[in-house]
Amino acid sequence: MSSITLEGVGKRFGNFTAVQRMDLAVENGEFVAILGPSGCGKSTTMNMVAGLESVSDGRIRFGDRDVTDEPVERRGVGFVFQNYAIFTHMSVRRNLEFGLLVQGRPASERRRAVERMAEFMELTARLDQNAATLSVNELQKLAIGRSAIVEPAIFLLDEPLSNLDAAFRERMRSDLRQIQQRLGQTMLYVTHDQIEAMGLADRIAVMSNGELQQFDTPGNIYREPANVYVARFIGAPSMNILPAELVEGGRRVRVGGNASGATSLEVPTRYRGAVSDRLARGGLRSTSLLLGFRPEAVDGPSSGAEPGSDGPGVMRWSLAPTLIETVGRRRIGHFELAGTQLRGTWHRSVPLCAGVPVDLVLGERNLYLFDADDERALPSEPMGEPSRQLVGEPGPRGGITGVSS
Amino acid sequence: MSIELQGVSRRYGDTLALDAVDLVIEPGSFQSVFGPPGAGKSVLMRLLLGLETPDQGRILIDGVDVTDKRPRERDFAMVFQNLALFPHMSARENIAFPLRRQGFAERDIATRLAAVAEPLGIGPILDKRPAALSGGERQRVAIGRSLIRPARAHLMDEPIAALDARLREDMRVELKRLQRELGYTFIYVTHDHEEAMSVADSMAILERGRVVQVAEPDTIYDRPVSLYVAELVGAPPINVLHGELADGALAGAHGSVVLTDDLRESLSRPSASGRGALAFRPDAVRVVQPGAQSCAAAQGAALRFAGRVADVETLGAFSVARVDVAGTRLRALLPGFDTLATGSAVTLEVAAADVMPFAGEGMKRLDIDASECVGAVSSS
Repeated sequence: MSSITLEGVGKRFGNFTAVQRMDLAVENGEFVAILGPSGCGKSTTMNMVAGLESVSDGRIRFGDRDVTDEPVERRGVGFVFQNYAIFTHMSVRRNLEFGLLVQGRPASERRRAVERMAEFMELTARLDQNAATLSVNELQKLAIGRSAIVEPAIFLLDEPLSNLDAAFRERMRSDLRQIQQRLGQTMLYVTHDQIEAMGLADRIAVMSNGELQQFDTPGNIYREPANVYVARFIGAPSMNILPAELVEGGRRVRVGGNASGATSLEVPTRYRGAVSDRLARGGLRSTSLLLGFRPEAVDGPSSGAEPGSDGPGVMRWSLAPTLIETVGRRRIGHFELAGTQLRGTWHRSVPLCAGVPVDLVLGERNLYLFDADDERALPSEPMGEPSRQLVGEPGPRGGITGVSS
Repeated sequence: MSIELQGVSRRYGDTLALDAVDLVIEPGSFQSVFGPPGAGKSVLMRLLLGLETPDQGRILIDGVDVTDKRPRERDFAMVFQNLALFPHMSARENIAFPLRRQGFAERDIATRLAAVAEPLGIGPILDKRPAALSGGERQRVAIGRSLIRPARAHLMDEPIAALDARLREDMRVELKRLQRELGYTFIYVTHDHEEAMSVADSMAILERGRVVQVAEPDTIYDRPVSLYVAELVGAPPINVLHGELADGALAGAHGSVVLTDDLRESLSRPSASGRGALAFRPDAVRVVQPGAQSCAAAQGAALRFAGRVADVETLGAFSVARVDVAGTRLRALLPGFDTLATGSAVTLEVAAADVMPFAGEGMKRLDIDASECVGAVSSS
C-alpha cells in the first residue's frame, strides 16, 4: 500500500505543454479519479505516475520513495487500459495467473488466487475457455481481474469501462468499488465520464488544458465548484451560466439585460462579503459577474407553493420553455434568455409545455457567482450540508423519506 | 407524407433479420428506432432507403407502394454512421453539395446553409476541409449535409454516437429543434436509450428483428409490453424480482412477495402461472429509515422489503442506493447527495401503480391488453 505524491510535476513535448506543473497528494488506499475531456493531460499524468512517460519537471513519490527516475517495471504498479491487452490465445486461467507466474508464486497459491478472482469476476465457468471466446464485457472483467490479482500497491486504470455498454458499466462501477474496498489499494482512475468519477472516487482531480482545476471530494466539487469550467463539467445536464450585473449598490444581481424574461434577484447571503469587497476595490468590471444554477435545482425548496409564500432567499422566475426532453420520469425544459440557453429539470408531475411559462424556483443556496473575466467562483461562506427532504413528507417523487439530518 | 411498413421481412441465409415488421411513421414526427446491436435497426434503414429489397411485405409512402422503387425515387436523406465527406471540399461546399447538384439558386443555398450551420455550431469551421476538422466537427458537417436538403424523411443511423457525452446531450436537442423548425420527418436509429427517449415523439422498440412496441416515450417507460422492453430503457436499470407465480403471489429467492388486491388480480389471470417477474423502476422505490413514519398507509405500498444498504453511488443531481434484500440487490434513486450509511438497515416501499407484473413465454406484461402495443406483430 502506498500514497502517491506529485510535486510540481509537468510535461512538455517540444513547445507543447501537455501538463502544467501540478501538485497532487493521493493518500494511501484512496480512490482518485482524474477527470477531463480528451487532450486535457489526464492520460499523460497517469503515464508519468506509471513510469511510461518521463517527467519534464517535478518529483513523483510513492510513500517516502522517490520513483521519478525509476523505470516502469520497478515501480510495482498494476494497470488496466481501455484496450485490454488480453492474451487471446491463452485460456482465461492462464491470463489470470500470468502476473503471479511472473512473480514466481507457487502453484497452490496461484490456483487459490485465480479461483477467488474468477469467482469475484463471475468468470469461473469460463476459466478453461480460450480468452478469445469471451464477450467484450467478460474481456474487460478479465483485464481488471488479471491486474488486480497481483495486488499491486498502486492500481492505475485508464478509461477501463469506456468500451462497455451502459448497464454493464453501472455493474462494473460497483465491482470496482468492492475490489478497492477489499484490497485497500491506492487507485488512480482516468476518465472523461463525470458519472464514473462521481460514482467511484473518494476525490476527483478535474483537469482541463493540461491544468489541474480542482481536487476535492465529489460532493464538494458538485456543491462548491472552483470555477465555471468545473461547474459545467460536473453534473448533467450542465450548470446554467449566464452573464449578470451587480445593481442597487451590490444588493441584487440582474440577469438578461433588457430582454424579455430578464429579472433581478438578491445576492445570496454567502456571497455578500465577497460582493462588498469587490465593489470596495472598484474597477471597470467589478459589477460584471456570471450567475450559475444547476438545472436540477429549479424545482426548488418550495416548489408547488403559491407565489408570495416563498420564504426569504427563494426566487421565482417565470420563463417559457422552447423545447422539452423526456428522461425517465424527469423532464428537461430548455429556455433562452438574451441569447443564453438555459435548462431546468422537473419531475414530470409538474406540467411543462413548450411556450407556456413555468416557474423556476431557486433557493439562494443553489445560486453561484463567478467572476466574469477569470471565471473563478467568488469566495463564499461555507454552505454546510444541503437541505434534505422533510421527514415523512411524501411528495410526488420516489425518493428517500425519514432521513434525519 | 406518412411512411408505412407492412409485414416487412428480410432474411440473410438462416437469419431472419427483420420479421414481419409493421410500422407507421407520422409526417413531421421524430421517430426513434431503438434496440440492442443486432436487433435489426440498420437493416430497417437499408430497406427504407431502398438499398435492399424486402423478402416479404410492402413499404408505402403516402399510400403509394414504393417497395420496388430505387433509392433516388424515394427521396430520403441519410446520415450514415461512417460519414462520407468529400476530402477536397470545404465544410461549406460539402454541406451545399446536395443542393448544388439539384440546381438550387445560390441565394437559397446560402440561406439554408445558415439555417443548419448555426444550430449545429459549425459556423466558424465552414471554410475548413474535413482533414482539418475533429471527429465531432466532421460528424456535424455530415449531419448538416443531410439536413440542408428537404426530403420525405431524414434517416439517421447513430448520427451522434461518436461524439463525447457532453456534446451528445446538446446535439440531440439541436437536432430536435431543426427537425421541428424545418418540419422534417426524422427516422432516428440509436442504441442509446436516453437518446432514443429524450427528443422522440414516438419510439419503436426492436427485438431480434421484430417491432415489439411503438409508443410515446412515457408509455414505453411506464407501460413496457414485456420485460425485454422494461429492461432496455431507464437508468439505473429497472429492478426485477424473478420467481414462480402461483395463487396470485410471486415466490423466489427473495422470499414470497405479498401483494395488493390490484396486483393479485392481474397475477390471477390464466396467463399468470409458471415463471414470472415483478419489476419496478429505481425512481419508484421509496427508502424508509428505521423510526421514520412509513408512507405505506397513505400510498398503499404494494411491495415492502427490509434490507441493508450495500453501497450508495452519488452522481450529483441524484444518488443510487443498492440495497441487499434477501438474496437480491435492488436499486433506489435518491434525490441529491444522500448519505445513507453502507450497511444500515432500511425498508424499501413501492406503490402498487409502479409495480409491473410479467409472466409467461416472452415475459409479457400481464396488466396490459395486446391492443396497447401499437404496431406490435401479431403473427407467429
